[in-house]
Amino acid sequence: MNIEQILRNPQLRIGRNEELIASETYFKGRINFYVSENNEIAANSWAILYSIFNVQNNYIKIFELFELGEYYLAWCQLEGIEIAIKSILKHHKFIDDEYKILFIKEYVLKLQSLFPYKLFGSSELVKKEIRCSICDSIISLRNRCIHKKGELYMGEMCSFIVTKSEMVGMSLVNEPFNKYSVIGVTKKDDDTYKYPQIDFLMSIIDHPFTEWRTKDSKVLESHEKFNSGRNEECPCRSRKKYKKCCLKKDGIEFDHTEFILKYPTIKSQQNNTFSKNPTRLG
Amino acid sequence: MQLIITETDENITYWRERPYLNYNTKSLLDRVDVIIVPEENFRGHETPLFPSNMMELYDALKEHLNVEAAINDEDYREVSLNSKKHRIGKFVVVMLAAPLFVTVLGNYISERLKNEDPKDEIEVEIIVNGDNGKSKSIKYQGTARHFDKVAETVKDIVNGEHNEHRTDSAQSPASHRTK
Repeated sequence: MNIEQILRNPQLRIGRNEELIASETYFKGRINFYVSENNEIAANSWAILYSIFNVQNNYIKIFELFELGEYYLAWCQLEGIEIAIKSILKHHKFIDDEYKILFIKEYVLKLQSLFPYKLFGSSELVKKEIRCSICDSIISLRNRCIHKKGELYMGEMCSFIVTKSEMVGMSLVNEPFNKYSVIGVTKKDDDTYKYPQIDFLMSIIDHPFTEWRTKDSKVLESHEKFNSGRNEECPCRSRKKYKKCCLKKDGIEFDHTEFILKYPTIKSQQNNTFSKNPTRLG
Repeated sequence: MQLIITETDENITYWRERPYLNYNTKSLLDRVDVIIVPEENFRGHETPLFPSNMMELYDALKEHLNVEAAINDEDYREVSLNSKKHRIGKFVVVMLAAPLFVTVLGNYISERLKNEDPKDEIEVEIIVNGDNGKSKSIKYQGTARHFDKVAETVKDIVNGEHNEHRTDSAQSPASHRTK
């Protein structure tokens, strides 16, 4: 199996589940082989390659989740990819982004910016007992096992597992550490959010590795389009009174996102949405 | 960016004498260059608490400095807040070790945040323990990129203190002479 070829061309894996399973089995087999040979360096190298392979697969899966309307699940998976990439970058230096990990890192952030989530729950936890994921020892400040957090041991990354904790508070934040704690959604069935930017993106890109960017701006819509009274809420949804917001301007001001494709896609040509002017979503 | 410098009584002696420290811990805090200090009474919690990942920083500092934490080992607890702000912690540093401390801390922060969003903010407090009992607290909140301002401030405080000493010692004989 040509692993280099597989890792360099993740896009060729899209929709090929049998090849995916075969590659996965191969990676696990190599790690297990080197662990059984007590060859820690080789086991760790294969573990990193396997991690790169998984990041690529999970990134591709994001777009499958978008198609299924599983936006919140995709959001959680994006966070998982973000964390995995940080671990990979700690152990692997890329020469020329040969495995598209830096591309994925950049596009994970771009995709996250298209979600409408603005408010997150923030739990405050006191960690009362922490154990090492490698040897299960209890860890304290001055008494530790030999394993270091974030390092690889026989292909397994050491992490600190909180085995006893106490919640001391809960607050609402705009910029959370854990992004999964979105207020108001836990799964597709209870999701009341709308995702117009993601839906629009999906209508213009051909595959997960299509290159695109967005440009945010403001557009003005004429006052005549809206029948708002001076003391009513402004149509721009600022929650201010109309007279204290857009009434003084030349028009009602709305956020506007332009999607700019680096190269024309089949979808954008079919929809006639690719031109010298960027594709727009008002 | 927010950088606040104030005088404080929370010097090394203050932290060595906290009532929740046992004899062994107090002994550990003798002759250290840096004391990592906890947040007391966080949300009414009875045990003092340290920010997440303090154990890694403790290890990193120990490679270069004589450092200890003002807590008994069995009472050590970290509090995890789900906020994007990186809480680095609070430290009391002896004057002489302060320049090395801010360099080591700066390197640790750069390494820890190198794959994070450059807009991420950090929060840290450094108390420079004055030789004459006067201590200064430097509280910083801002991006990791601007941590060099904290390092400069700490070094200025150290240099200022040394200059003050030099001036005092230089002036004393002169003043004696005028008398």
